[in-house]
Amino acid sequence: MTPVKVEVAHLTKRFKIYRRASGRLIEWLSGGSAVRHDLFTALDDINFTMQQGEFFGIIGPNGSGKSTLLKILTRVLWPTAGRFHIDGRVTSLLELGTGFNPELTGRENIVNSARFLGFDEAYIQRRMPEMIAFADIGHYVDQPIKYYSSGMLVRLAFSIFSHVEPDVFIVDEALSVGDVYFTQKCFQRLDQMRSAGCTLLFVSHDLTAVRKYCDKALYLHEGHCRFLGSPVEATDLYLEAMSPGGVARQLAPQSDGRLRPDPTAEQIRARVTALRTRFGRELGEKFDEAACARVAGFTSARIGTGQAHVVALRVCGADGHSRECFSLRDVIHVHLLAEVVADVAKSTVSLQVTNHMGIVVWGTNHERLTGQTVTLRAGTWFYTHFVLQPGLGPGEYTVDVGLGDASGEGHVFDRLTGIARLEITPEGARDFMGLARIPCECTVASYPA
Amino acid sequence: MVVSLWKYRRLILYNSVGDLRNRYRGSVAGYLWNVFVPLAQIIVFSTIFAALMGWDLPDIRGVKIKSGLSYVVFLCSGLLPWNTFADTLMRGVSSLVGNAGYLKKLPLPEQLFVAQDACSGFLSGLLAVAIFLVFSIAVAGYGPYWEWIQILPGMILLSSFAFGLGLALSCINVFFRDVQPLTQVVVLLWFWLTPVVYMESHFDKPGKEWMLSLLAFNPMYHFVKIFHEGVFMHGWVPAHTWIICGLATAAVNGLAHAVLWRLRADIRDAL
Repeated sequence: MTPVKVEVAHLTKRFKIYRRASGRLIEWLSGGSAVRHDLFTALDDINFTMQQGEFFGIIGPNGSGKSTLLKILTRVLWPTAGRFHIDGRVTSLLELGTGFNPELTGRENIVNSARFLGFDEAYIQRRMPEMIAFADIGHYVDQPIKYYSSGMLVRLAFSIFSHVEPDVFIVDEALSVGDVYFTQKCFQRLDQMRSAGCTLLFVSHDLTAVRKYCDKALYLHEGHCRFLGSPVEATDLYLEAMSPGGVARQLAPQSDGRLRPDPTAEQIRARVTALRTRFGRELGEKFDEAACARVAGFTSARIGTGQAHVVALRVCGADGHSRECFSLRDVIHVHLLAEVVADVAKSTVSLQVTNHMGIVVWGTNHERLTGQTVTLRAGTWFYTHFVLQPGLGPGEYTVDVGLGDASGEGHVFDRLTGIARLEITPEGARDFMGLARIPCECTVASYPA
Repeated sequence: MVVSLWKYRRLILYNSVGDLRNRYRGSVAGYLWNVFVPLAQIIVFSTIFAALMGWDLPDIRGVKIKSGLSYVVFLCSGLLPWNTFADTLMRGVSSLVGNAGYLKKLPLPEQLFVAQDACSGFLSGLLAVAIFLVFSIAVAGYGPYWEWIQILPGMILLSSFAFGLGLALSCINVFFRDVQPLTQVVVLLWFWLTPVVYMESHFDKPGKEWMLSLLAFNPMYHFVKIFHEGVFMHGWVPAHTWIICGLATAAVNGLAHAVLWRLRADIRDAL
């Protein structure tokens, strides 16, 4: 069991907002009996723990309380309620080059920053060569930092803060200022620090990085913890909430952050039986036990408001056999079955294919294809059949499916990111190169000179 | 309050020395301005009061100063420490607001910045007094005296007093920015209520004794007295003056501690 390094319990921060400066004076003079301020809750009952060596991500839109949380953890701000405990020394890269003096050289600023952090001089002198080597800014290290580019400043700042051996290291967006090469280097360094037992708290809008590096993520929204758990799920939820029309939606996660409890094996079997008996051979054959189990067992990247939810999904070839491996010339069939929980006037169903680089190669929905929306009735089953013509280039893909609102609100009822895997083999004649095949004709002619 | 500053002693010292260097950064004469400015002040005083106005003081307790310069010596011995006090106080009051950039990002103790200002005020004040002493010896033919050694504890005490007062006001200034201009006005009034440019013997007349007894409640009167007694009169400052100044310093620092303790949780929210 790795030791807990950071423990945050019921942390709440409220700011007093005074409309007029005199308001506070009246409050002070009245001994607090006359209230002249409004309270703004920046953080509301935040709870989490971080274990040693954990890479913990915090995501959320601007104004969601990320910075406030970091400031409290670095002991810059005081919490209004709740408590937190950090075992060991915290170093934070809160703001790029805080404590830097523009007139001093890089080297002098290293020493100066160390003083701000309360380190003794000898220690810093010892670590200095390592810091300078890591910053890799050449002769600039002996120039006043007012001549530095913003990228060089981040390099210097990151080098200093990451080389003073913190127990808990807080990194925020500052990192995104560096160039690609340096950002890579930073993540390598963070990895090193982590293996040395350092606990990392990472705040970023770079969701790919959060997915890639974090072990756990906290999704903050208007000061509330909206999700705590797997980074994939957290970033998915966040993306969904941030998608057009999704901002106002209130996803109602349960206490553990999950939207829906996992169905048990019995429930799955019961569903399949129900399907078979009600729809006979026609649907029953399309959605076998595996098609239901695939959806039921898929809990990691699934979000939605739940007006309808997907119960079964099957990917198969033209012959009706389930498979995930197709050739360049094969037609791909996707069958989707959903259970409608609430009436929805206008809705649509979507399909999306993402390649191994995380790039959406292609996607569509029923409304786009047909120009029509679908009315969902509570208590009914909703069946969708997608037929994909050949066109995807060779490679590995994942399939996302979703049911959503089509009235312009943009609500997603149920979305499963990466529910199925596709592999397109390069066998068969290949008349194109690149990601996808676009129908194309080419005629040539030559004329006498 | 003081304990938490110990960790940052290097930062305070470095930054306050750096402050002396940086104050005139970009000028041709550089840090020499730290010497020129007080020197020019003394020269201006000498020109106006000694050469033009012909102000002089009657010999007091056998103080022998080159004729014509006794008032200038008296003035400087009190004014330079007063300036140190006023300068430190005014900078201290705006210290937290002025360093909001640091306070909002780094977990540094609030009093650090006020301490830094007090420290740099102390150093530049000490430098000004030292220049004055050189002037006194070389130009006014007065000194040196062993009693002048009292300047050092006097300046330390004075700076500590200014630190405490500055810190308390600085905390309040975060919430009510009126405190800073208000302090400026009060310091001006305070200056004229303290015998710096005039001598306390002005009040030593029938019908004005009440003003003299009122002076006893002005802590700055006692602080200035250290310098008048120690420098101008080159006598040993009476023990009760030291005690009063020490108590006043302890009192304002206690007050500052209480104010900071009370407002701490809200200070950075309001910055």
